[in-house]
Amino acid sequence: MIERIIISGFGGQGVLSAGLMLAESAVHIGLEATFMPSYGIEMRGGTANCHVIISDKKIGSPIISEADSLIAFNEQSILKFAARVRDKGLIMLNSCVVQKDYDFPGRKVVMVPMESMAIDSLGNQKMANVIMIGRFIREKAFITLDELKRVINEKFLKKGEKVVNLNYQALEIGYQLQ
Amino acid sequence: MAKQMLMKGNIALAEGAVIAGCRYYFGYPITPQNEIPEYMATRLPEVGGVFVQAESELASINMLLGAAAAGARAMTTTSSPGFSLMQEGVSYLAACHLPCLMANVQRGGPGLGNIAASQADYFQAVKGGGHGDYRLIVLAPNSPQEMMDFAILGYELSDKYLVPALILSDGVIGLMMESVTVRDDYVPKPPEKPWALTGCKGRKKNVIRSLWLDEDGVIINNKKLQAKYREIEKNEVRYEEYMTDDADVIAVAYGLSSRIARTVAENMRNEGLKVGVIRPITLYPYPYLRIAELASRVKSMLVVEMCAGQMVEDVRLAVNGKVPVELYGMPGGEFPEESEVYSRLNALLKRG
Repeated sequence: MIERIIISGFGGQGVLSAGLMLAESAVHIGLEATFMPSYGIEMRGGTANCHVIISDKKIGSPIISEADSLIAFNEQSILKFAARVRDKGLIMLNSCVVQKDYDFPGRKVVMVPMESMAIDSLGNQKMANVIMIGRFIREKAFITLDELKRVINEKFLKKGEKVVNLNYQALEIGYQLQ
Repeated sequence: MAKQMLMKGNIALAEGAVIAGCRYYFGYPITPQNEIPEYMATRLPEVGGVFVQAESELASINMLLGAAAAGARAMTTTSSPGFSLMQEGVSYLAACHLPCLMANVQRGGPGLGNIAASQADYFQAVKGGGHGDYRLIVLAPNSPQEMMDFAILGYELSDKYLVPALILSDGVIGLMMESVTVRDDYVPKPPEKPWALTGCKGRKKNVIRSLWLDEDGVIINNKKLQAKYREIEKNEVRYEEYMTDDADVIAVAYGLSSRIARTVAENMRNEGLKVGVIRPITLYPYPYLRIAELASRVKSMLVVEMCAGQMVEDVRLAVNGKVPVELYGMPGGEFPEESEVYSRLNALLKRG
């Protein structure tokens, strides 16, 4: 199997963090993974995207020309990357910020109001990216909820149990979203 | 049991150096290799080593020379414009027969360029960016795993021949993360260094120099250097081949380009198209002989590199006119497109 995922958004939205979680989970369960970050010069507000490739075989180029999935945290990301998603691929959008009504013929579209869900259910916008990831792993079953929880625990343990639990909740509500 | 973890190329290189016994790092910040000095700044004190952020690349390379002369496993890293600043020191290191490890995580150039990956420093690395008749052992990793492995191999080869070693990487291999088996079971066994400057109380003094104003000092030194280089060329060539046995067209590529070429070759083989890839691992000593052998069995070769055409000259030298050698070169920090590599290889297959 091979899954080529582009995750894209503004700097500060947790784009790279989300990509890392997927890549780390994959490696932990014995799959091959590559993670390639791309940054603009700004720390906040500039563009950020990462290319995550997960496979059961050795991976060639870590740079994705044709993606299986696009996870777009902002509108620019759609304009930039939607065309790269293959036929029958997956496009996930942050429906809080996507203004236009896009048409993606041949691709499955999943809308996730990630920021409003984060604020309404958790009182904190920072975990919006984890909600998106939760929904993503329901689409693509090669990484389980438990495995991603393990990665979250590892990542956020030093910030305390409260933060870890909030992130677990974010993952769950993303996973349960219709 | 060595652990397996997702690791960034630059970090794998730095940790590989530490595993190999590097205890001295002198460097200056430049993108896309800043992770290396940042990592070494906290890691080296943990193992009783020393990290110095020098005031410039010129200072860094000279500090490296000093540490190497004192017999230590020491290191500096930089990116393209920084490596240009180091060239005088590189020539001195080579002339003085000093082992050390350097890395150039290539970025777009010439000039200050950009922070994207490139392979445009090939000439500088293997043909001598510094003055005089010298060579470096040049290793070209194409993965974070190799960044770690070649830090270790670089020190071993450098200490064995007393020739400086250079890891020629690029901004993608440096920044990407991939599964790495950490070599924490490696035990460094550096050779004795009786020539090192360690304080000469109780022994004859050692002299490390590259200046001889007499009639034949420089001539003699050059003979010594050349003799070493012939040994290295005989014994240390390394390369990797994919599907070359029955290939009609072979791509030649190193670093990131080799990963792209390999992906395309695999896809083409799935369509029944007979292509293969040879990936030089040592850029010096270069696998001229092997490429010449392959040239007698194929219709043509395609060199894929992220520059306007540098390694292609060595491939043409090896092939010596036997078959056409074409170039797909992307200068200025642009990546070779898989689709374009496919078209070029396909066109060569059809030409016959």
